[in-house]
Amino acid sequence: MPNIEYAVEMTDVCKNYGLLQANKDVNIKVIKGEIHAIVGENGAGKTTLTSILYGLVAPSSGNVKVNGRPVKISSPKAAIALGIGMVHQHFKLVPNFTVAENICLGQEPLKSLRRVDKKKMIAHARNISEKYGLKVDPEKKVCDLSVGLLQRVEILKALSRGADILILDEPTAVLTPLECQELFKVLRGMSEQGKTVLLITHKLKEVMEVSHHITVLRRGLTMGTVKTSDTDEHRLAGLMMGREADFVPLEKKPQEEEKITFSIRGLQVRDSFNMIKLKDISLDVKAGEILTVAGVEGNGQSELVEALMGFAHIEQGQVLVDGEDIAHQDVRSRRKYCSFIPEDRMKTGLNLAASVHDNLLGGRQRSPEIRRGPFFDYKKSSRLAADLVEKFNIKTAGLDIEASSLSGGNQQKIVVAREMSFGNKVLVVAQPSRGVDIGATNFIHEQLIAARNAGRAVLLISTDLDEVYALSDRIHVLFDGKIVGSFTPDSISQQEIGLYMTGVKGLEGTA
Amino acid sequence: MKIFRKLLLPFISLCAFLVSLVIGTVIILLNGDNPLVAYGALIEGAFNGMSNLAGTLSSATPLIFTGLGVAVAFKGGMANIGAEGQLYMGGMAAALVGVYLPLPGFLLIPVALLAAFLAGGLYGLIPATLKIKTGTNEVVTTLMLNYVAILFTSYLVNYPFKAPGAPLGMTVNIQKAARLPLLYPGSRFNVGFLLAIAACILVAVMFRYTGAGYEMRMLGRNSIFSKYIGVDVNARTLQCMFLGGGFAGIGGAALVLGIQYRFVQNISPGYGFDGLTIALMAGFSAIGVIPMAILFGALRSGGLTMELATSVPSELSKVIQAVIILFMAAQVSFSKYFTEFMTGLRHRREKKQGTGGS
Repeated sequence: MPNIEYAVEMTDVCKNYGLLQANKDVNIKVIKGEIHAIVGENGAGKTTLTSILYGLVAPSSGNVKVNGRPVKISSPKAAIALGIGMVHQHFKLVPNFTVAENICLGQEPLKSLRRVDKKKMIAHARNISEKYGLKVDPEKKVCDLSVGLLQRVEILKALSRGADILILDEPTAVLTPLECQELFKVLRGMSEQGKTVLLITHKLKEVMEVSHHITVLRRGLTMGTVKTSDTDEHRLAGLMMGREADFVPLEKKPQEEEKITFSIRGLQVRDSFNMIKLKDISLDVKAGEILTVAGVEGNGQSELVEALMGFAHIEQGQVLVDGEDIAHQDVRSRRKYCSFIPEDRMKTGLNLAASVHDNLLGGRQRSPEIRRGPFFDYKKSSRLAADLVEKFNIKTAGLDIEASSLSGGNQQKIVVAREMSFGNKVLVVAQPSRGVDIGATNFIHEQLIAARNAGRAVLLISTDLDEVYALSDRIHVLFDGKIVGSFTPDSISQQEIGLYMTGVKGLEGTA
Repeated sequence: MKIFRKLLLPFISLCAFLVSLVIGTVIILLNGDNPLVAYGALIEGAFNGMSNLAGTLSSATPLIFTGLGVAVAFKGGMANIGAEGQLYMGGMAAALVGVYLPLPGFLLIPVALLAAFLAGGLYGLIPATLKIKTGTNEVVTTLMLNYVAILFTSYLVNYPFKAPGAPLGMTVNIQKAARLPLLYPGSRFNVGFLLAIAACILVAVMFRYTGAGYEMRMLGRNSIFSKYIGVDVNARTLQCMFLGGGFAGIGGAALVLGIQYRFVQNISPGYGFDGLTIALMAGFSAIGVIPMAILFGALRSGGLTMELATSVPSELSKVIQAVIILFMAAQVSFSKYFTEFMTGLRHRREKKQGTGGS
């Protein structure tokens, strides 16, 4: 094929954040006028890649060419000047401005005395909306629009700034299926008019439907670019999830007990916008078992953890520990039965401004273990904290230094140490290795397996498939707030489970 | 690093104080006076001789209480700008008990102090309740409630409780038995000062050695973490404000029972607001409040001597305070930026990893 014109070429692009390589030698070529999808799991480096292209971050090394010319994109302004537009996952619009005002924001047509020419502005908005078939009333206020329409305004905003290359970050995450179809129609139309579309997503079904080429990222690496017509969802899932053999399998005791320690019955939870986030979730965790709820982020994991921790209101259903319903107890009472490793250690799991000692004591402030009479006995509590520091191999310069000065891995070990130390029968563990280095991850995994071997019931909520496979006795897949499949790790491949996680499979019965 | 952080606050407090003295010097020079003479008079007036020292400590007494009231609330995460109002309510309650309650002597003072504590504390509960129920920012509500309290007590002493024939709004004198016993004759230095020190020690012990204190400390720094480790966040918030308001209320009692012996309208020359500066300079440490309050007491009582010895008005000490406030405010945001910057550096890579692919 001679003379293919590329809109974007990235060669050997790397981006390091400290020790973490978010992008390693990423190579990608996007043909002018095509819809090019970039797929990958969370943390695969998709956002970093697009941020480089839109000038939000500078690459550590590598070359970027736009329309055949080598460029350094230092800011979004420079990106816009090059004809690159971006539609963010979270819309950046002014709610009480009209559609036309939002589209023209920063480049308003003026009449005499630098007054804004509203008529021109509306005409311009109408023009551009008709040109690309993106129908939206330019005189409506943005706060009165539905999510699907908001997205149109974002796209129009980018187009009105002369974008020839449009980056859409997870555009369908917030759309209904019907709105998705309309969006795809629009994208196809834009491609026919010569615009290049870069679509960032992890939903394979959509990718197959709308794109021309697909680039798969995994752990910061490009796994290759394929023609959409030459591949299928299964092969893509394989490329996307592919298991790397860097996990040392940890020894698990064969399961003996059949006693169910922890169970959830018909759990239903809504978010603050009254949207149902979890629908009829039921599961049982046996003593001496790690049950994992796997899934792509944003399918109800956070809501599940919050509901169990007592942070979110449980609308329906029961949470049973040894038959006792704790669904409506306060946090303090729940902690007598369950320990929680929350997904956000910076805000929830730790008080970063407090000392390591104070963090390790959390939850014990009323316990006689650290008291003499009504008062804290700092000898006792320091001994307890020092024991935990030693047992969990927490690297800290002392007990009285601020938790914020520890590394991420050691901070997470504080949380794990504290929660394990209560000896509760039930452990609810969310994303325990997120943002944690390999060494600490392995250590934490060992601790979780040790807890399992000691007969505790562990409910793990994780989006990291390697972690899921390394730890689980059984796996439930959460998609769109429902459990869409239950497996044992040896009965299903990562590729196949990826299909359930992305909603390709498993919805037959429930949808 | 750790040492640096520990010394940061005292260092900045000292800088603020020194800079304010320099600015004070400029003002004295512009006024045509000798700064050495003026400052000499100020120091002499504050500390030289028992009677001057007693004057300083008696001015410091209500300041310790208001400073403590602010510090307690801030430590628990409530920005209490309402110590002035709480002081008025407490002072009024103490005055009413001191004037009207026919109690034997040994009971009168404790009951009056208790009434002041309750009045100030309950007044502090209003903004705390509003915050919990409706999410109203307590900075705004506590600040506004100051004026409500000042005007409300003003009304009380101008109408229902006005001393007959008094030229302005005030109650009649409190019973002799309600006066706080003097520690140095010929001054107004009284046992209130000892009570104030005791209160500070009590609060320091509570914060360091009790479960409730631990929960409040954690709450003040991270409410989500506190909730997660099982703290009843709402109850603790209310308790903090009740305690804070209560101590500021006793500050009012110290004024009424120890200095004025009656409630006069506009009784406080801004002790509640001084308490805010004091608490800030002390880094919200209960013990740290004591020296800071004494410093402010010295500025107040020494300022008067300075005015007599030179032509520098005693308002200069207010200028010095204002400059200190400015610097302390800057320090608060500076240390916030500083900690954010340090933790930001450390966590940047993890944050990126956490949001890397979404």
